[in-house]
Amino acid sequence: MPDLPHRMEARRYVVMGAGEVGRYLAQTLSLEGHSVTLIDVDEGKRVVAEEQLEVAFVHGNGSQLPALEAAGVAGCDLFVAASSSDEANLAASLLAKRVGAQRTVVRVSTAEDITEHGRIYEETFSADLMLSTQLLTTTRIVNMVLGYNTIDIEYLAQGRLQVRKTHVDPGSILQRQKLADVKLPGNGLVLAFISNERLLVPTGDDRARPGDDALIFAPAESIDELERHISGHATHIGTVVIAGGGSTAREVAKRLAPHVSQLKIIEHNRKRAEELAADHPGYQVIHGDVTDPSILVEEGIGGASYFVALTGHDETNLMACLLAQEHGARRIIALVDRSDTSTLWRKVGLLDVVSPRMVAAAQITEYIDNGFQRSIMSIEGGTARFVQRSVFPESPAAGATLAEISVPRGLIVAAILRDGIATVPRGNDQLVAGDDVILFVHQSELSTVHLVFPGPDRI
Amino acid sequence: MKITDILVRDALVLDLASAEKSAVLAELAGALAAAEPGLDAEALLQVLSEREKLQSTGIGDGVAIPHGKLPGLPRLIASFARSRAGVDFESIDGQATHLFFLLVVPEHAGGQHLKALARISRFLRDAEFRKLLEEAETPEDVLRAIEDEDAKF
Repeated sequence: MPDLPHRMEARRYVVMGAGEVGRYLAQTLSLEGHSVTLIDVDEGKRVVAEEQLEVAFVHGNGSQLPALEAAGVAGCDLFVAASSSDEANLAASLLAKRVGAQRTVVRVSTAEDITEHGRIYEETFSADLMLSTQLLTTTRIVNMVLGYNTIDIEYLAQGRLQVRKTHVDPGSILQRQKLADVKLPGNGLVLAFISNERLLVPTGDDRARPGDDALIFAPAESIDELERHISGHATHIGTVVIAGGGSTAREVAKRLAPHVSQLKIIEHNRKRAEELAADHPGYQVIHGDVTDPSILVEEGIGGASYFVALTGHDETNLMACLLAQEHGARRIIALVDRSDTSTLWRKVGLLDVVSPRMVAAAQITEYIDNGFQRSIMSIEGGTARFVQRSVFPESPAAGATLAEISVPRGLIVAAILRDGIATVPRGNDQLVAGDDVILFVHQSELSTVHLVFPGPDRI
Repeated sequence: MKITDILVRDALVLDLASAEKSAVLAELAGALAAAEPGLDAEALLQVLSEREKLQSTGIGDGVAIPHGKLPGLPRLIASFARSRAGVDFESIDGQATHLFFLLVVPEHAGGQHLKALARISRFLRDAEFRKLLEEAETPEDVLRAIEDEDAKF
């Protein structure tokens, strides 16, 4: 693929927080020839920034004006708030926009901030993109275990609905059969096939071409089943052992549990282990030390399909992984915080290493490479996008059935939000005043949206 | 559904006198009411204005499709009007509006309403069709352009 023009011109970036994510991102962008300034409250980071990363450094609080002004936020192409404090990052985004940053990206730590409240935070704090390292990490690990090809996820209707961009494998049913013959499970929709050259809003006669990505849509509780159905990797997964019971482990467990025959979590903190067991009767929670060989052997690590190390400590993860390897776990995945140690992991044969800062940085550089467009919310430079509108009594759509509305190809009523419940509708469902709808619209049909669903955009 | 079948020919206006949005809506409603016995211009204007408050029906490219549901109306009706000077209709692309298709439907027209809207907006996406309407010298020119477009789909 040829380099896009916007990658060739030098841009100006300001990154707040010289932690792992900030440093890695600053280095990546600087190596591409852009001007980068790092802001950090710790003067001690200056040496690393200026001498190792060769980027400019401003000592100060990125959620206060003096530091933002000193870093030249006014007019910068992108401001990235990646400090370890969610609050500081959100405040910094708002201020940076006021000072004149063209766009902002905000990193937050926990998943719910994005899945449930992302839209509100984005609006309130003027963030163009919010990302959670925890959520991105979870997606990567789930991809590895379940054989999914999720590229990106967007959360709609306070997390009740999900859109995923996923790569279509050659074995996938979406390539083998035309859409009309594919029986999609659990209320799901295939909204589009996407390749480098085109976006296709499919009809029943279409199928994915080799190399295509697909945009899939379903309620949160059934989207994994949908992705599994189309992934072409419906192999049975036996026991998965997770080391550590922290918040990332919980997120991973929640996603994996319905698809594996047994899920075991080993947690050394007794209180946390008890809480986990009480909250999730379906998990087998073991209180113990993951670096204790007898525990791993007792829990049948040799027969496990996957061992996933998520303790939050690199050293503990490394030790546990080596033991799991020694005792015959089939596949081993580890979360590694310090990106500079990844070579070491590979040397001892642990290849499936996930680094939170690398996935976060990758997400941000993808956003940049995509011309500062979110790959799902605005597809292929805006050829199609999601719109949420309300149905008013005066709306032409009020009282109409889905079949009547979906006349033009390129306008899909993907979901109806009614009385707090999100459903993916079928042709004979009827819209009533008071409903909200989530529409997937090709740009050629935007004027139809204005006519049929008049009113302000809710997304 | 053919647009020709629902178009009220006697309500056609080639040169709107009004230059401002609310006055244009009133002129459109008045012209249609004058041609359709039993149609209340005031009630129609009310409905159209309510709809515009939600979001302008000016869909860009110099086109607006004001529309609304009118209780008691026996059937779907449409009319055409043109402003040579152009009107600030608060259209989504911010450009002046020259071509107006007015669509009025019975209260429970449901699918018919949407079909007519979709058909009119589809016609108007065609730059050549818009040009024919913009350059029409007589009402017959307008009718012919619409008939020809109707025959295509």
